[in-house]
Amino acid sequence: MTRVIAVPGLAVRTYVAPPVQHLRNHGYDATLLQPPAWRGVDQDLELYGRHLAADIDNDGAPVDVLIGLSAGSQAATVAASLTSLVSRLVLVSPTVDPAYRSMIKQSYVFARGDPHDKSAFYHHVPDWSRAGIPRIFRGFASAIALHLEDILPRVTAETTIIHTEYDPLTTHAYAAQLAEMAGGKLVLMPGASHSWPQQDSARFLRFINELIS
Amino acid sequence: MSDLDPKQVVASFDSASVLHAATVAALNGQPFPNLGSSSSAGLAVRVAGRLPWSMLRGIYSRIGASEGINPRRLGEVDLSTVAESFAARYPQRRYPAVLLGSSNGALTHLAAAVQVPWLPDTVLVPVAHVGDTNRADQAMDFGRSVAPALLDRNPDIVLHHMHDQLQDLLMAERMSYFRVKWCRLPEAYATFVEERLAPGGTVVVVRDHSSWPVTRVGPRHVFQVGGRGGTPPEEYLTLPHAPAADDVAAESEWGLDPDFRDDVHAWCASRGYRCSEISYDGPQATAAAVATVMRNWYRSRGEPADRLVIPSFILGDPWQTICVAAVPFWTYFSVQPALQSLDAYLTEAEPHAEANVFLFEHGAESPGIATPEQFAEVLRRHGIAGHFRGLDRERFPHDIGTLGRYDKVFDQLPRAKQPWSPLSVEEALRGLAATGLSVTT
Repeated sequence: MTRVIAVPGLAVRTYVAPPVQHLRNHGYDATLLQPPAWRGVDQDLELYGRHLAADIDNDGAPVDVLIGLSAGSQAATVAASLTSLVSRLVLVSPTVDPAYRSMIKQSYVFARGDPHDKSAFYHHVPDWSRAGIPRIFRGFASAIALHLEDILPRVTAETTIIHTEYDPLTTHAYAAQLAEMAGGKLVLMPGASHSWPQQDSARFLRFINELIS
Repeated sequence: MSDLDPKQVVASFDSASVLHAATVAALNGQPFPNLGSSSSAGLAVRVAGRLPWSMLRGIYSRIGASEGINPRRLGEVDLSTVAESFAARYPQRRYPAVLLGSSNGALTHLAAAVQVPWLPDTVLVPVAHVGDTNRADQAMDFGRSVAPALLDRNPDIVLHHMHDQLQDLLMAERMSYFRVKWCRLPEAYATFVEERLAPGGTVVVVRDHSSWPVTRVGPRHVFQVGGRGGTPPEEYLTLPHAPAADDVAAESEWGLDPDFRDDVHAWCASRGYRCSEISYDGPQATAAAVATVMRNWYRSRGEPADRLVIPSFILGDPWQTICVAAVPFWTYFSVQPALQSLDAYLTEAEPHAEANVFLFEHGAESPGIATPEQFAEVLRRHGIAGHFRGLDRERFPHDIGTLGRYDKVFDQLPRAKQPWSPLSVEEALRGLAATGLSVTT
């Protein structure tokens, strides 16, 4: 059975639960981890990634696909750089783009919202409450400090960068640069926003099917 | 006195500068509204476009002419900084190929699909000059008197002074078109290739064979009456006061300088870079090939690819075209040869269902112009529902507001459905060759 592990974004998880469940319904051994910054979970993304790598090594079973979403992409990349058991790394809407790499810029983008996914803010509130503002703030700080472009060259797993058409947090240029740097593949997801694969389980399943075929 | 800023030197409305800007936008994954100008400029164009043509004509001419640089400052034009500025605008990453050479809107769309940069060989330096548009001979004399400063300052260029009193009537009233072609690879382009071409990548020379009869003014200076469009060169040469042609040179806007081409090949050979060449005769020659390659690319990932988008000259948006998985059939101008090329493509291609037509309007009823009705008729004959959104057909060819409206059309089109990755360089070149275009590798 194909083993898939997904690391969700900072302090958010609910939005990606249905697509991961959809994978399970179609025969995948798919696990959605607790998100960084929830109480009891590492708020520092590098530490989260290190612990994840150790867990994978301790478990000893190969991971066919490790998926990182948004800030989870940073933790997943750290993990993939530290273990040889990950075959494929998929970074969805990877952060933090150098164009927005400061708390002020992040706050601005956050406050501006996502015009193509206006309900995202409200959907995330229950998840955020499980972390609390101080932990989210520290998680953001660790995200800004952790540069994907420094870690990716150490990853040996086959890497795919997914950039969505309407992502307000990550520029196309950054996603393309990461793909080029990793010697990986850039995949553009038309009509989708930062929180993909939210409400797009069927396309998510097709993507994973094609990835491992 | 300091050199002119590169942005002041090159015309913002020219094929090279706009197609380059559109490619930059596509490599940034960005739409290309208002031909790369600000949203306020787009608004101004849309508002001004509502004025009666009798008023708008003068405004159009004067705004265009405002870009013309003072001929006394031609010695302050350093085209190496222009090359630097073209190279610097691309996003910082390595690319599997770099395109160098002729301007071509169809290949701009292909570059967007492959996600590779294009650097032009030819740029337009607009020079302020008020004169009688019907006196090509006087225009040539003006060029002869002011060009030496530009040529002395830039030893690696050839000046193709173009005067087109039919198609560029409004601009030619207050401006001279100094098209300059690099005859050697500019240092900035060489550095760009060295720094940004991925290991094993390909330098692709884009070579339009277009030529035109010219009057030789000097060793690196020719004068061209007319330009590619709806009127052949021999008809331009019969116009009153047209200087007699005594030579043939690369066409000023589209043709590739042969020395530039040779220099790029030699440079690549000396550095061990793989070098390919796409060559063709005339800007329209690539349109069907690119449409075919892109249609096949869309279909391979499950898109229906039955919508055609017909960009015109600089009016188009390569990134948005891909985002809606539309097949681009680029036309170099709204002229009969381009329309005939579209007709020929549609005759050969599998049927398309719909087409969105963009028509660039230069504000003149020039000979050989192709009207919206004629485009609609060709589409109708091929069973295609033609849409002219963003264009006021009644005002053609004076609907200047379309320059600020064309991009809105894409917002109304259904998005692509399937995830995609950039088309590979090999697949793109192989696809072009399969259509009959000359591609050497």
